[in-house]
Amino acid sequence: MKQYALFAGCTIKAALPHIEMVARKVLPLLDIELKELAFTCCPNADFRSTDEYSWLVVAARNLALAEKEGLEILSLCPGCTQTLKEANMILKDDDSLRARINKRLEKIGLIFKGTTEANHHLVILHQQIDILLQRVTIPLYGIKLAVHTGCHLLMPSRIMQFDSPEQPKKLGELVKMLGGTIIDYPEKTLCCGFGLFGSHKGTASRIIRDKVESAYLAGAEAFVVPCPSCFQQFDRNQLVAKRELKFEYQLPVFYYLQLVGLAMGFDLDEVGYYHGRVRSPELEEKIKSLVKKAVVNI
Amino acid sequence: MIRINTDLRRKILENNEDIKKCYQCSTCSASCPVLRYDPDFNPRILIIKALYGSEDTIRSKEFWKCLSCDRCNERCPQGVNPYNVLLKLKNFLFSQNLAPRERIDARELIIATGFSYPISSAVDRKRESMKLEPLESIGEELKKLL
Ligand code: SF4
Ligand code: SF4
Repeated sequence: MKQYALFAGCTIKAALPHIEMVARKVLPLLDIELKELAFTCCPNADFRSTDEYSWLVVAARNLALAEKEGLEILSLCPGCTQTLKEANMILKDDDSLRARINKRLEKIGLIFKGTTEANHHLVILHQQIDILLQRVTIPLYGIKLAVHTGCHLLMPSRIMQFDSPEQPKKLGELVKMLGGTIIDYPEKTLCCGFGLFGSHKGTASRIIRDKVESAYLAGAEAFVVPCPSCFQQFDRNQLVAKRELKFEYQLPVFYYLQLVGLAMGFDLDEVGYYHGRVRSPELEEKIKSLVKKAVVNI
Repeated sequence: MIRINTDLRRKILENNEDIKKCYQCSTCSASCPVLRYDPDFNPRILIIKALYGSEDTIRSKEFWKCLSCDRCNERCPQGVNPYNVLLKLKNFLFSQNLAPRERIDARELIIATGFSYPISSAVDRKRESMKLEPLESIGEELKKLL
């Protein structure tokens, strides 16, 4: 059992707590112990767009908190992961900047030394795939999933060092470990468009429509994402786009750990599926019948 | 006529000589998900305007549309890091009180509470129904820090 500081991030904590719930349920069963620390917003790219220096200060505080506990950070959000990794790298590389920022941190009794790492759970799970495989009791055989890794886990690749930004494979591999079937689709690497939903709804809606159409026509039954912002775009915002642009198809979305939960024997309710807005009764039946089949096999 | 703002030009070039290497190939634009849907947003043009410190760049609201996806940084053959140039532009605008209201409000919310989403009793009730702890403001500590 390895202990990590859990970095759930604002979106999950405030808007999608069922994802935090499923993470706390599933990760300890994969030998990952989670500790809660008083983290703030990572902070996000919008904050960075106003003032990079204060962005670094707030990120440094989060990193220093984990350092003080001697823990690495496990993040549930690619955006948070990117901020923390990038800030960590900048501060480790620049002695004079680090000294200036540490003057600020001193005021609250913290210091950034550069002794921790931040990683998304996909990175950590991919490194311990054997444990994941051992825990699968209800393989997701026949469930056809369109993988969307999103942007921030992949880029900038020199910092993220997780997977190819042009041909990402790792989330797909992790889905296959659960028994799921991967459906390739032309718009796999297109950004979900979430960032424009607040200010330019028309653009964000057309992006999500094209993603859904592309995956639906390729034969997918649902999306799988590692990111709470993508989750919101594929879930609630997909329905808004559908109303505005009047397209017919729709696809529900799973956060990766929800699928892990299903494959470990939790039911749809226990993994928080019903907190999602986009539903697919056919897919729900199919998932329920996986459990029955598994019982018959015993 | 294009007006040049020397403060802006200086700011953009500060610690960022790489922007001069831009040879206007449009790889960034061809890679940009925003431009694909909204041709008014064009990273290649924003880069050349930023390089010259063009005044109309400051007045344009265009570059706030950037999705921060980093695809342009990843693909630019000259190491210009267009996304980071846009960040510098935005930082400059914020320092001149020219950032959009939503961005300023979003920033203030984070500094006030530590979270980018409003924390409320409704959020806590939802969390409680899932046996999760309520959210506590960490704003006081952030204020000391910033
Ligand atoms: S910023 Fe890079 S990709 Fe964009 S036009 Fe200039 S050289 Fe080409
Ligand atoms: S970071 Fe911004 S400018 Fe660059 S490709 Fe993405 S949306 Fe376009």
